[in-house]
Amino acid sequence: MIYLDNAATTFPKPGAVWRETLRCMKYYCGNPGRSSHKLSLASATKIYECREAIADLFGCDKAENVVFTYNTTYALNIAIKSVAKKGDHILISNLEHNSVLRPIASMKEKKLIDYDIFSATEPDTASILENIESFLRPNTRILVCTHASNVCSLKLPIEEIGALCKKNGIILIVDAAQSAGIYDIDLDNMNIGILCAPGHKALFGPQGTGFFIKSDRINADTFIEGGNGINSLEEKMPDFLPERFEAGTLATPAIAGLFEGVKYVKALGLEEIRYRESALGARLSEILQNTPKVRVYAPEAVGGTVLFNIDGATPNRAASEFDRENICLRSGFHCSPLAHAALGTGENGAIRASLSFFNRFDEIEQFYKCLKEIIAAQ
Amino acid sequence: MKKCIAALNSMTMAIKAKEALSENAIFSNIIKLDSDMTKNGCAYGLEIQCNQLNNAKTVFGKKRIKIREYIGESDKNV
Repeated sequence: MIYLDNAATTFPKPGAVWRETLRCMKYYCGNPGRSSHKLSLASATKIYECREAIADLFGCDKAENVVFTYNTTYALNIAIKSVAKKGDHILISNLEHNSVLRPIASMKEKKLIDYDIFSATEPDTASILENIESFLRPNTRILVCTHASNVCSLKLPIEEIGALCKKNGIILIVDAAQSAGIYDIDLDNMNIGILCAPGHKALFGPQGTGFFIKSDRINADTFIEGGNGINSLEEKMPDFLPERFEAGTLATPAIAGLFEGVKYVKALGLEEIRYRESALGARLSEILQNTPKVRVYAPEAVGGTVLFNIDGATPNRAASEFDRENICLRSGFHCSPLAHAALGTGENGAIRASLSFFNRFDEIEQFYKCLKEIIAAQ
Repeated sequence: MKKCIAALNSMTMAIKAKEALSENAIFSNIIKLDSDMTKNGCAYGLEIQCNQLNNAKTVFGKKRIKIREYIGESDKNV
């Protein structure tokens, strides 16, 4: 099996991840934060250690500012809806996933906010910033954008966008679904108000893990209310992190696994991970660009995600043919209609091949062999 | 040995505080506080030997750990 769908979720995971997930379920899976008995404390301590490791990876000095969610979509919904106020103008990029577009569009439909879409597919950073500035209004309060696209290897200049947001008093919410665990992210240096990320992608945690990290300078209302073992006699959620945003029981076994994933990433180092994924991605992109009847979108982008189409084969049909040869790819629109429109993929979308640190060069060559066979059989 | 309690808002902060004390060789125990001590229901505290309380306060200050209140002597029913 050759797995090239790592932008959806990474596979395989390091052994330490599933071993710790199982160990937690078997030996110490008490309800965290609910009691001071041994099993509850063991779970809570493991979760705290995971918060610490995540905070450290993203340049945050307070572990309690890491709030666990079930995935990036939950994190983004909480971040956006707990910060936005009626009458706000919000900016998003033309590379956004539906996890950003849909909550924003829903709020607009309810006449709570208005929004505009800026172009992140301009040829250089200055043009992107200029494009953002052209949409600024006096009530522009929030900018939500992805750090790295989920359909191709395009990246946004987050540091520069952060500086622009700071200058204009705008809260920057970043979707790091494809960049957390690969690219350097520093909340303070990049002026990020809230960073939203998955645990189950490049941080190698189990599915069901995600989080956001909130800067202390951002005030946010609650989004989900309920029990969390704190101030139980009060009707209101507590005003301190992370419990203000965490209601109900956390996914302790999954978070225990995520902790091992984060440790794995930190031990390897982001530079090493980036180097390997970029080298694999460069070879994959080279193969596709030099194969007749194949069109590659955003070919100039360097990274581990390549978007393409094969002349005469719909993306779904081509992906099925790869699947018959045990190569896992994802076809369609990848929940990113804006990005597909910006890249001009057409009415059926495209095929995405996305790599992880665990892919090998011989797998890329097997992919190439299969690609040639599919084209020859047409 | 008399025990004092540093009351904290949450289990998260109790673990953070316990870890900070541990790094400074101060032993502590996380305990759940009774609601008559906290006024608003479930909260947690760190049980510390009273003769270590000043050292603990210094650690909390350095680590910017907010303590809700310090409770003097505790007994085992806390």
